[in-house]
Amino acid sequence: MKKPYRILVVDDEPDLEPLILQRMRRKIRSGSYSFEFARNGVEALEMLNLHQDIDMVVSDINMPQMDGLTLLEQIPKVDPDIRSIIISAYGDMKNIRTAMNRGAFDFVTKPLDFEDLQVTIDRTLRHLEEWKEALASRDKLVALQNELDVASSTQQSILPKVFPRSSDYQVFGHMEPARNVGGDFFDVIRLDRGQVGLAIADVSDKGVPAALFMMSSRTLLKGAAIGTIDPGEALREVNELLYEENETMMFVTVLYSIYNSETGRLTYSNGGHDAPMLVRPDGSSELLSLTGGVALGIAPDIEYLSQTVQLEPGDTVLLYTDGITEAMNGDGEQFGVARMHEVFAANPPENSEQAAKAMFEAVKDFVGDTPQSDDITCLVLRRDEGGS
Amino acid sequence: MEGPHQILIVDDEPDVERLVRMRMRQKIRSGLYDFYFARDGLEALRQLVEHPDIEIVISDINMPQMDGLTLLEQIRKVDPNIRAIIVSAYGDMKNIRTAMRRGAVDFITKPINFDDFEETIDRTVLQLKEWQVALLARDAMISSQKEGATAAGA
Repeated sequence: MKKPYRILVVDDEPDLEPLILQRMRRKIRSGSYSFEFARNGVEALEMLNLHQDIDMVVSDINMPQMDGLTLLEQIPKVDPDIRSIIISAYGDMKNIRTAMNRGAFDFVTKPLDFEDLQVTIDRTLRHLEEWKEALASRDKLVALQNELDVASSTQQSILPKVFPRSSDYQVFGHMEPARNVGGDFFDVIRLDRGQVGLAIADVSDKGVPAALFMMSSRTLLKGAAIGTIDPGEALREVNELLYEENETMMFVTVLYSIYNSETGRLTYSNGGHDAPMLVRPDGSSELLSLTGGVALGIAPDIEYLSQTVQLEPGDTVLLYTDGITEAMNGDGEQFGVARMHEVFAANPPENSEQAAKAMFEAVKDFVGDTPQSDDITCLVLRRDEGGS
Repeated sequence: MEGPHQILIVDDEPDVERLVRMRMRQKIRSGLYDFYFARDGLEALRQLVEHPDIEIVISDINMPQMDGLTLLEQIRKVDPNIRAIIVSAYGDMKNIRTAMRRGAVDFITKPINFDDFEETIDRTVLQLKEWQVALLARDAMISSQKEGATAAGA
């Protein structure tokens, strides 16, 4: 149950305390209000420092030691969120105006009308409640923003920034992070005998938990990739390990491939991810057939098949996330696979970096001013013309 | 830079507009405040609909067609974030208490003391700004939660 609002009543008149306790007894008994009493401004400030959960002050004006108008100026220094009501003589406009200009929320007049006092207290507390709710959202927003910053910098920090390049092939990858949501990553893993592992992935959730899941997916994949030359085998191993430790019910879609630069053969396996796109030197393109695997981390004992495609010199392969296909424009249309094919139809890729940038440009032109709702990621491999 | 704060003055006294413009000319010229004027409650409501940027309404009580206390109740329906200040006769405690209970944030008395008038507006604007910052945070919080829900559902 909610605890009672704490109200400090400040008056040098000793009669007020029993009167308030008597007239407000129902509110006290029902646990809506609790009262503290002080005899002057100095005592009131001591109470405020002692009881830091006091929500509002109801104060008389004329009192020994420190009067109510001076007290009004002191209260915000103790706690700016405390709301004050002043008790003035009936029609004492000068003091009432001074009190209001010193930040009193409202006033009541003597002789006290207890009905008016109660309405005024209720109104003040309602206002205070709204104010505190808004303050709490502000604090929460700051905390959330910090958390998302951590997640986003974690995500950025694991992406490769330098890409392998030889006379035979080139690799380029890039991610455009969404403002709040993040779950994409890619990796480039150097393997033995002129082979390179290329992975692209999309974690199902966002924020810090997703960033941690991303980190462990990436580490596990790296470990598995180094131990095997079969992408399907690597995915199977990562899935088992992710599943064992997965209490969060998150999952990750992964497309993992190994390119052999000596033969030009690309072997890949898919775990619930979008099909890679192969672009020929003439700009024609096709999606490579999928291998049927589901996303990783959901269920144990899943087999992931591998498939191989022969890349010819000048061929380009794009691995990407659904941030591209599902990018939405102002009319609610998605970018889709058909537009991906169009990007290169008239302008065949010149190199891996240019191909990735052309794709990002096309998506950007398509969405216009519509805010990006998901990470957009693209990892490109190209077998060079000079390659044997 | 943020634009001037829009304030609506409601009074059937034709002199009020001239007086306010003269006394507040510096703050009008410096782009701090912008004043609108209405002669009664009905016209005030029309102004509020026409100029949704009005943040503060300062209204007299006794006016033809719709009085200030009725206007107070209507303002809440138009936009609960508008801050209302009532102008009453000096010492008219009954109407002042009624106005405060109907949600006025403050009052000023006639004949208008322009120092108090200005101080009251300045303070109300300050409180309003604090409130708007907190509201913006709340809205951002709500929309980021929605965004999160959409992303998790996607």
